[in-house]
Amino acid sequence: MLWLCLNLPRLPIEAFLRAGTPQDPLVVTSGGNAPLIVACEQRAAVAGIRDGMSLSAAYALLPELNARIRDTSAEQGCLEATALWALQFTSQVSVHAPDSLLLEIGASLKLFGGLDALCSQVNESASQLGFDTLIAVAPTPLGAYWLARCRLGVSVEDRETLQHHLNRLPVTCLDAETAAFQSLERMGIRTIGQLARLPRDAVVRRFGQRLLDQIDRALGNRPDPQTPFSPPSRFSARLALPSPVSEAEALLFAAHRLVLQLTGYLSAANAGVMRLRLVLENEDGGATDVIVALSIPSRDPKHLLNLLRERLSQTALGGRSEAITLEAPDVAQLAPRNFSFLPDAAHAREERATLVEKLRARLGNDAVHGLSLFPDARPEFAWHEAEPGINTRPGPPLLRPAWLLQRPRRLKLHGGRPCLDGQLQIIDGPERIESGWWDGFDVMRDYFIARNNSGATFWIYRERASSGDWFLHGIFS
Amino acid sequence: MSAALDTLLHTAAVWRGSERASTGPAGIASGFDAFDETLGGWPPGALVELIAQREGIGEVSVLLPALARLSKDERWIALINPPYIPYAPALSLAGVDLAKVVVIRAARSADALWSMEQALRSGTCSAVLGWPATMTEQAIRRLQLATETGRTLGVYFTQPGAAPRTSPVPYRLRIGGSIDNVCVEVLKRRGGGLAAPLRLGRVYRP
Repeated sequence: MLWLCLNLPRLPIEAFLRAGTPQDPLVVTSGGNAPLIVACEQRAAVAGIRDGMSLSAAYALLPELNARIRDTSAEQGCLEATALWALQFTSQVSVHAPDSLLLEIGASLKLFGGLDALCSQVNESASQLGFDTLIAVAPTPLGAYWLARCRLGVSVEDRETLQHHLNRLPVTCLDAETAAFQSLERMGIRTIGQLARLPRDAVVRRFGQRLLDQIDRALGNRPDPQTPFSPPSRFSARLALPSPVSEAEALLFAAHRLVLQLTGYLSAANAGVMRLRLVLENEDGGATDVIVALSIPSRDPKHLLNLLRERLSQTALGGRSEAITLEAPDVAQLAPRNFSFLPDAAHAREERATLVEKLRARLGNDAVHGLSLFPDARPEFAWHEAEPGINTRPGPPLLRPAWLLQRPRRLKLHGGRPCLDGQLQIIDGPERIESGWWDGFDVMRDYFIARNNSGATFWIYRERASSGDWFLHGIFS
Repeated sequence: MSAALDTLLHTAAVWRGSERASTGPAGIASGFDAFDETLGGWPPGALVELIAQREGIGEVSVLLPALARLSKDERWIALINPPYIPYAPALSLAGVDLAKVVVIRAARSADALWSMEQALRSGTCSAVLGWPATMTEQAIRRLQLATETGRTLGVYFTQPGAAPRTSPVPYRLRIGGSIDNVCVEVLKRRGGGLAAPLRLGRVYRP
């Protein structure tokens, strides 16, 4: 077993900053009667504000401060969102409150190309998610957690080295009462190593079993089962925006974070999304739905974001949005792709589908279609608009023009003969088409191929019903 | 011809206008000997401007044998804003696999050009045929770049006088005659001078 601890040291402030940077510098306070600063943004830190300072002192330094009370439920929400994202690296992820995730990566090393490669991928991807992270790797979950918390960004793979590192960590890593820390300090015990070297029964008598238990679990001398995070059956993630937003780019910035979470969720399920729904919650209480449909399931964050961008640019945004929610109502299993040196047909089809999706996202679904044949003698019913890529059975080998008019156009007559840019000469025909008496669109026509003096060739017909009128139906272009 | 002149002409230092510079990948056989001999087929990766003297003279049909060949490929054949319904029975009869055809309708002119550019650039189309309402020099430049990127056959249709006279399009062909006696004038081609009008004869069965 090998555990990677992903610690989010700035979570209290990042819980407010994920969706974008607010106008005024943000600080997070403990709340209550005499609020203290718990965390502050870089801009506030530059002005001299520090953690532990009272809020009134901070206001004195920076009057335009934007102070928010710490929101632990939002932090928990962030942790769970991050856990969802982390599922792309391993199936075993645990949330370690208040600010960390534990990933069992022993089984993932090979897939990601070794420990270093995996760590750098985790790091890079986490920063896109909007969090500062500290990473440590150890054979025990608690060991990894302590190393990360103490900003010892080390990767330890065996227990001897782990013990060596843990011995030097301060006792404040332990989860204990303030009183216990005070008495340890009075005893001159500063590090885990010093504490571990004391006689066990004396420590137990004085502090109870709890402290030694923690050290034993951290060293791997005592089992430390972790509760695995189980993803919800349906993906839905919400992000409140720091201030109401009406620009598509700002919305996309926030949506990007949610798309990355979705990617983790989909990797864990080995699935791709078929339909994406982005709900924009407006200031006035209304909501705008942005829906993207895909023809082939995908979990490529870049592709999904591109589709959302196109769709958003075509959507009339009804005012400013306060929060966004991303949902994946339609998810399908993704065929595992084998590594191949030759582009295979399935891959080509997938590539093809992205073009259709991209065009549809901007132009609308109906603006892009394929063609299929339909066994009907009436020319206007002999073809259908179809989903691009649909196979169709060949029809009878009849001579037909490359262009068909949407609606037959009545031809003028000159001396009883049809004209189109001059008199038309019949060069072939008639081909009699009689059909459709059963559905009310019945057709009784004689079709001819005709040419005018300038050489243009047309497909025309004469109504066999009473009128005997001539119509243009196609162009031999 | 004197022997001296003959030797001179055979040294590599002499460039003769009648030799076309070899340009990029092999052309797509057009199905017409005269066309392939002069132009080496339809050029993939280069934009072609097709000027039809009028509608209904086989201006689309000249492309059908090439499209039929290209449709054996997994890639799309994209038709962007065709002026009428591309009639599936006719395409199918000409040998075009309909499963590869995708028709795109963009209401705004800017969207039509955008779609053409996307289709050309993506590399997922073997041919992109467009009927843009307007064409500017700048748009042609963009489309040409996209055509090179996607190594696609890119063709746009215009009417006589509609496209800018000076434009960076590498191929400009004018189609005249009638469907059973099509004549192609090569107004501009890459790496070569003028050519006599190409008589393709009958491009479709009537």
